[in-house]
Amino acid sequence: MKIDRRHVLKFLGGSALGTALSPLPWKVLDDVSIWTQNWSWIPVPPKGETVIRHTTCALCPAGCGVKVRCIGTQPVALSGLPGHPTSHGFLCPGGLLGHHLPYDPRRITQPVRLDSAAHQSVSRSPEQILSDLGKALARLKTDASAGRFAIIDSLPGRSTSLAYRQLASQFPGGTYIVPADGIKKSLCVFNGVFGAAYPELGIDVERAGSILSFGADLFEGWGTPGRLLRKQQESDAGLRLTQIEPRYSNTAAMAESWLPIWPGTEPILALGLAGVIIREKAFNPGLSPAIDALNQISDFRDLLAALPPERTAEICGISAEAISRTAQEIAAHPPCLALLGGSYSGGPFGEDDYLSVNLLNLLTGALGAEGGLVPRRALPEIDPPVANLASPTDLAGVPDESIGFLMIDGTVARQSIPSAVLRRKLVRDKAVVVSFSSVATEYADLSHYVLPVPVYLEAFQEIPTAPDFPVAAFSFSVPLLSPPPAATSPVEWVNRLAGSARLDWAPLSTEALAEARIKAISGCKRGSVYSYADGAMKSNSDFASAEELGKAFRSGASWLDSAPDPVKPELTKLPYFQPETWGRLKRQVNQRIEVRSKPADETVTLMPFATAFVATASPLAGKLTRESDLYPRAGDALISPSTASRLALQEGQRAELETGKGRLGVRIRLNEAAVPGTVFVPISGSDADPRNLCEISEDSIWRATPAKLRRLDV
Amino acid sequence: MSDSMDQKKESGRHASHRFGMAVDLDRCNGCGACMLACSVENNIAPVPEEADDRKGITWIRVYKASNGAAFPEARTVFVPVLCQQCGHETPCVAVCPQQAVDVDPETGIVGQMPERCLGCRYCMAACPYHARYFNWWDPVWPKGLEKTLNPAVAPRMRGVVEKCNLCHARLQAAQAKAAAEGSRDVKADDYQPACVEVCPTGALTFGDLNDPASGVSKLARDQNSFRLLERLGTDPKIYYRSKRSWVRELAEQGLSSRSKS
Repeated sequence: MKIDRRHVLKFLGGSALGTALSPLPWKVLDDVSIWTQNWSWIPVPPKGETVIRHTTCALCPAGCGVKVRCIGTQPVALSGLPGHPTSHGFLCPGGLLGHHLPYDPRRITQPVRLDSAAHQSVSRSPEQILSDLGKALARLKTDASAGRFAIIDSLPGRSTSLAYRQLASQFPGGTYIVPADGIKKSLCVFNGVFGAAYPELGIDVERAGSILSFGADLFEGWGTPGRLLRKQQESDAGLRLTQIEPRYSNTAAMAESWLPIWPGTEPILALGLAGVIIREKAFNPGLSPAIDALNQISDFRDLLAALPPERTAEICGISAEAISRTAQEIAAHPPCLALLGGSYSGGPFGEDDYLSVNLLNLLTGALGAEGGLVPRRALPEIDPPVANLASPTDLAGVPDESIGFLMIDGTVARQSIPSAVLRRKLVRDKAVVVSFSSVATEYADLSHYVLPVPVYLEAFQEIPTAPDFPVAAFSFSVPLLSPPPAATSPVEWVNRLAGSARLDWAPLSTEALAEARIKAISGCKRGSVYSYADGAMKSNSDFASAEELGKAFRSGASWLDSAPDPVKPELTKLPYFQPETWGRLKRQVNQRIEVRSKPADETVTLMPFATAFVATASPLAGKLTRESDLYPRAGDALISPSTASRLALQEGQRAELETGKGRLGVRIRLNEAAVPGTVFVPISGSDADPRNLCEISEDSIWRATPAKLRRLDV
Repeated sequence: MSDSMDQKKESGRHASHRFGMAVDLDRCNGCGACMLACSVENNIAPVPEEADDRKGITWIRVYKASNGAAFPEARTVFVPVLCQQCGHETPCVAVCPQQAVDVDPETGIVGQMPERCLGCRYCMAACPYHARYFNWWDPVWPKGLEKTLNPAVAPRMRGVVEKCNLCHARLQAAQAKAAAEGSRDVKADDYQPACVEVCPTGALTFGDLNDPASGVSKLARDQNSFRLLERLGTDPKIYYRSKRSWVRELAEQGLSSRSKS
């Protein structure tokens, strides 16, 4: 047979048709599809048995209960525990990403010597670093000109804190510094008013009649966030929350009303509101004798008389009608919790600011009442007590240029004190700064040495009572992963440094200190224990021994102290009844009014603000900042359109912010809800920390600072 | 019109279940926990530094929308937007040339099969809610972080589209559990999407819209409930609720007045 062109074409056509009708091309297509989606660089998540474990979040003092979904031993997802007695199922965005922290690309696995000026590490072996630090510590004992030893404890109240306090006591003038937590500082006004049995106060937010928040970030990281959220969900009447803040924050968005106030005038508004309550006799009836006593103080009378609603309105930028209405509302819904600040890094207020705002707590009967500020016992003390402990000191109490050796525990609340504030306290050019951290970028502009420590989910960490909680509470954050070999607990570093400095030192251990704490809690027989695994609440006295209680803690449990019997506050102990307090407040108010009355020219007021929920090292945090507009990014500057127009600035433009302390490059973001004349810059925790541009007053307070904002011509 | 086209038009309308969600906008505090829990659950990769809100991937995205007023009357609402699980003439289903999008007849959930996806992005153009996302980059996690991925969900490659499927892996796990217990049916109570599980304010409620007694059905019937761009007739299964009239009015504007910061 002759094969012609037609046969060839028929064969090819038939072959093509036959192949198309066979499974072959579809199988090839399927395989190619699968193959092209399984490149070697696309990770294949390892499979394994799903195991649920429990722990307590150690990323901030709130101590939320956490359910950890593990594949084998590897945590793959975290979520809150709905029945948890303090967090009520809440876990913030940062907490949800806690299992990413061990894999931070910036993680250090060896002690690091930093050249802070050059922003790079210096080659030095761990032994050499320990030897250097030992010598520097030993010099403090012999050379008075070397300055004092100081240590900053980011989470005071732990047994680890005892090791820090004991180390500080080894040096002449050794100082144990507790960062200025806004909630604790606020409650300090009432210290000692309930007697020695109740050295602390808590906030009974669940039963509050109303809440007047002066910039407290109630829905953005304040205190134990789950408590307020639960109250919001369960209360038909709502929170009766009034947010007084220059920025329309997320908390302001959740509040029943928002009063946009001029920055720095919060204490004046508080005194103005107090004046309305006193004039209208709307204060708690039981306080009549106390108010009579206050009225005997001439400065008190003069100050309140000088701040009628009309005058207060003029100073604070809020209408007189809103001031009168707010005063009447909080008086009508007692007890009213007046809360000032509280952000972990947004900056504390001054002592006098807290005095002014807390006057409202006194007037509405919140002090010592259900739903107000309640007395709280301290955690049961370790027995026998650890000897030679330095007393806690506020940073403001440390003289400038006095610290020769500074240790910073950066394991919990990151960057809670701006570098600029710390730098003022250091002996110039001679001080040694050591940071306990998992990354070399923590206080990188300040630190000379970074000693690696385990992170959350790797570390055995005690979680003491949260600053706002109404009763003492305790739990453990238990390790679910192994830390890198060189990352050891801060207590172990303290032991090694003490050995290197040849101090008279009996080594301490985190585990032993924690065991002692469990023994103390078991011994007090008070309170109840919540088990994370089964949600059961069991009386402390039902645990047969401290070992049994310890076992419960290690598998996930929280201890809550029982509520104390009602205690009457001794009001006469309060600073309000000392005439000099009012003289001081009067002077301070006059100073603020003077600052406020200066005409606005080319300047704006710089207001740093914290975005606590996204302060995490996880790369997924970018979903909330770069990949959406939910949170401002580092370097954003929020200003009102009217301010932008005055300064000839537009959305998205690069600009420079300048104060007497330095300059910062920012990106302009227009925000209709910002008080005109202010610029709000988020605290990013990086070198570009806007707090370092703020004026720092004598009491180490940084807040509203005049600044110049000008466009950068590219 | 053919029967199959009719079926495509009515996709999911007559499903035995209509899984959907109610979002209480007066409760959402804009914390973003839903966005992160979703990313963790569904192995959504972080994107490079240069990515912005148009190239990022967030199966549920919380928008900040303003009332357009000037200071001091300016107000903000947080609007979580996810795939609206359209039940009628589902736009992405209608345009997909690859049959990579379908509506589950059992649950009414609009599913996306990245294995079939060609990356043509017709579905993104068709979606009126901007709830679909394209993988502009290969999924890359920092070293070690790949150990934290959820083994129940395969990471997607560069060049395909993805979107919310109401946590399909959780639904599958619930189906497997139901099967092990001798049941063929999965009820809405048997599982919750990750965003609903972690929402700290209780703003998200998930359930079966076919069950009149379910929480989500009750919320959907609330007089203050609405759906986004309802006039398009896509019959979304995501309901929103707010007592504020200016927020309800936003629904018809497609969040066009959303704030930039």
